[in-house]
Amino acid sequence: MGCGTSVATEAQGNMVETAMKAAVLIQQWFRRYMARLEMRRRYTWNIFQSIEYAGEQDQLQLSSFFSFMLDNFTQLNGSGPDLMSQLMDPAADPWLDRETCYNLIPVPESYTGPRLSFPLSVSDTNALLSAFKEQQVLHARYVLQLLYETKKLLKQMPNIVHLSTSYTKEITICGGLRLFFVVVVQNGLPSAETPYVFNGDFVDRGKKSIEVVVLLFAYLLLYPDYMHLNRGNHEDHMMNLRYGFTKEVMQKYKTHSCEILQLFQDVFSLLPIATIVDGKILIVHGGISDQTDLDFLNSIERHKVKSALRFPRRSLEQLDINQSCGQLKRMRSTDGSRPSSSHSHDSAASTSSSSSSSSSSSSSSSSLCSPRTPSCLTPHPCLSSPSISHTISILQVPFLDSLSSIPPPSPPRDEQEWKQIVDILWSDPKTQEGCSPNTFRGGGCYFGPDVTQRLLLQHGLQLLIRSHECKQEGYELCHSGQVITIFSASNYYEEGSNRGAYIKVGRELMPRFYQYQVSRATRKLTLTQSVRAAEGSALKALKEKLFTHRSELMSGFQQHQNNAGTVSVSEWAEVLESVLRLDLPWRTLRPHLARLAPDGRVDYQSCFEDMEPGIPLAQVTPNLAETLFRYRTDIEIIFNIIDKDHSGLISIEEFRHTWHLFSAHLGIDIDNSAIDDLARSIDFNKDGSIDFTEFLEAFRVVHKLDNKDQPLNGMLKYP
Amino acid sequence: MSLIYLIWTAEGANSNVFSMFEQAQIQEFKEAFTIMDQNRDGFIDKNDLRDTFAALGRLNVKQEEIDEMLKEAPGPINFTVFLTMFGEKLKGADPEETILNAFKVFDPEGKGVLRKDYVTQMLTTQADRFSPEEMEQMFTAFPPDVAGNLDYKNLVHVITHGEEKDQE
Repeated sequence: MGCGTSVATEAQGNMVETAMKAAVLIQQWFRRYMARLEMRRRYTWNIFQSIEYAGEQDQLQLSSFFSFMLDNFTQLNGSGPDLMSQLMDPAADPWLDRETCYNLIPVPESYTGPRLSFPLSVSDTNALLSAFKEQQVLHARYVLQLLYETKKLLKQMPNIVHLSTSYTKEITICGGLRLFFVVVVQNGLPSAETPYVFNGDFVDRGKKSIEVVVLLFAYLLLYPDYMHLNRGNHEDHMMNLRYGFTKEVMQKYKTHSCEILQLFQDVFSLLPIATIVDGKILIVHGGISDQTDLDFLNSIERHKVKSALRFPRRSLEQLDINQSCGQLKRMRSTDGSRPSSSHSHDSAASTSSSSSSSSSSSSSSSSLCSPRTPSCLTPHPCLSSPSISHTISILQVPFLDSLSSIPPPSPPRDEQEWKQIVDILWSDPKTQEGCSPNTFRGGGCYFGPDVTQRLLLQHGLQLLIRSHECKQEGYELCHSGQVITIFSASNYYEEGSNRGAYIKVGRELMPRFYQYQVSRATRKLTLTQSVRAAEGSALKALKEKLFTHRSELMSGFQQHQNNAGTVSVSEWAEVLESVLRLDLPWRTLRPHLARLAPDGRVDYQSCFEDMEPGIPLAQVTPNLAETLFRYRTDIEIIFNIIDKDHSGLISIEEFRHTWHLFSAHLGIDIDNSAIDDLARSIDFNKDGSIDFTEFLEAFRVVHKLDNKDQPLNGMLKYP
Repeated sequence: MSLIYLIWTAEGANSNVFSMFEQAQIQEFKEAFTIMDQNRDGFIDKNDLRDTFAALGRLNVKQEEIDEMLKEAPGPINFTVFLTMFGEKLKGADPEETILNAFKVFDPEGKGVLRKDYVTQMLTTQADRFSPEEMEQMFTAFPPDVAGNLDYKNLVHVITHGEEKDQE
């Protein structure tokens, strides 16, 4: 209406506009911050997962080493059958089928733990619950008796167990359980009102596997109608060797670990493979493949497949492995690339393993994947990338790899049966159609939505519930909701890394999800803090990986470097990916792993700056040191087996002998005198025996920034 | 939510987008894209959107909201579109000064704090409105004091410098 008013309005208008612009800036800025946080959370997750799966590939090396040992020499030290041959040879020990296996074991008066009476009653399971909460160890006699009874019960069960919701209330389904107590506290103990299906992976990782599995078996004996266990890929003695269950048993049961482990092996292989609810919901641990045939599966003798990692013996003999093994190994180390045979290779597999994938995984996929298409043998390049000089060959091709060049004959029934079970226990779903070998894990398949659809239709099912993969939210749906992954261990990698979840399903067959997260901290971490904590832990683990592959990495960097000793960011990322094969966002991670030179190129030496070995290793050549770092866990397992009396000591002779075998198998060119020097230097009190705990301590990677206040360990300790 | 939301506030797509960036930058963005593309099919789609929302605390996004947003997008969000939309925005950090000044627009007396209710009103009712959940996220991470005042200087400082620290 007049100049004054319009000026005022204009001024007002300007203010409003300014306010809006300011608001937009703030909103966008904060959202970007949240998005960056989310990115960090995701790549942290990627790091944990890829390192975990890389570890699973490594265990195939171990299993092939055991087979190698078994095939190449009779006894380690000439005395009676040892644990290793017991573990390797699936022949049943008849003694363990008789009650005397536990009856003859005396339980001292001084034992204050639970004394179980069979058949079990609720008071027994309650006694177990309280005992374990108070960190008591169940006496070996009762463990054996429990396993013996469980074995008897499981023998009567079919491979595929059918459940009905009309007799029970809602069924609770858990997978990947580590914290039995967490779920039962929230959901209730197993009972007629609260029936459970535990979908595999009861053991390994964590120090309480024995307690968890004893409780599960106890409830199974108590309520066989309301308690159901599916076998998982960790219910496998070879996996247990690698992932800690065997060690836990050996530590807690020094005298009877042999028998206990043997019985566990029997019980694990007798666990049912699958559960079907109301004829509509199929529950298995891993997944399926395009070869999965539930009728065939139901007909096989499941206990014959003791381990996924022991390839059916007959096929090995047929292919006459031992002789060709050595020659093939030598050939391979000089041949950087070989023509790839045709194979189904889609992006799901390629994200986890490029064409220069770890040959332990590719070889295992050739042996462990469908024998139906022998030409689907994935390529077997040398483990070190072609550009790296071949004088450094720390990793070598495991013997299973030799299967690649010999097309297997049409599979005998043994092998078919083995594959049916391995597919169920090891497979993972993928988004793309089709079925391809699971190169990430080295066993089982990646199965697509079409495979799921076909199987469900074929058997009149409507849903597949599986576990096997850790999910950030504890569960995940895929294949248009036809597949549910349920994972019940929260904080699997690290505090705050993921939630756990379980499913309840009732007569209407609609699954309901229950999530939880265990937090050790009393105050709630903000999102930023928990992301930062998990990220820090993941980066540490990743740096250790870099450290234990230092020689190969340095060699790769040196091939690309310019005069100033730097490489471009792209070259840096390339070398890392080709050596470590973890498929991680290296450029995004770069600021955490390496410094830039002033010209923006990467100072690659800075990758290794803040880590060092546990004790100074003057006598040890870099090759040897790295190998020991990398195989630390495997070596520990082998020592545990050799150490029959569980004293923690092995003789120098045994050490030397084992080490020579190990390095021969790996094809490492190590001077014998270097080993001798090492052995002597570790024998601190010069009595001819080595405390291998101390030895292994030396090969633990130490993060310098952590270590400021810790006293020197290793060499300065005295017995 | 924030990443995808930015798409809808961008100008049009530039067909020559790859020439805007250096090779190294493109590689970095490719990585970021891959991180967001959870099912690894080359597109950020409905499922990635929903998961992203969920991950950022918005568990209750309605299907219609997602569909609306997807309808407005120029097409499926592949890498080129991604690059166009927020290549710069993902990495770019607004200088601390700029954001502080933005807050100061609402604090003309320069007290350094703003009332929680006012902040809520300011951010949830105009421009690229915050949802209640997003507002809650900010207040959880940076709680106002007992009198209900938000120390925005601290908030800006922590976010800017906290991240710098994490980059070391």
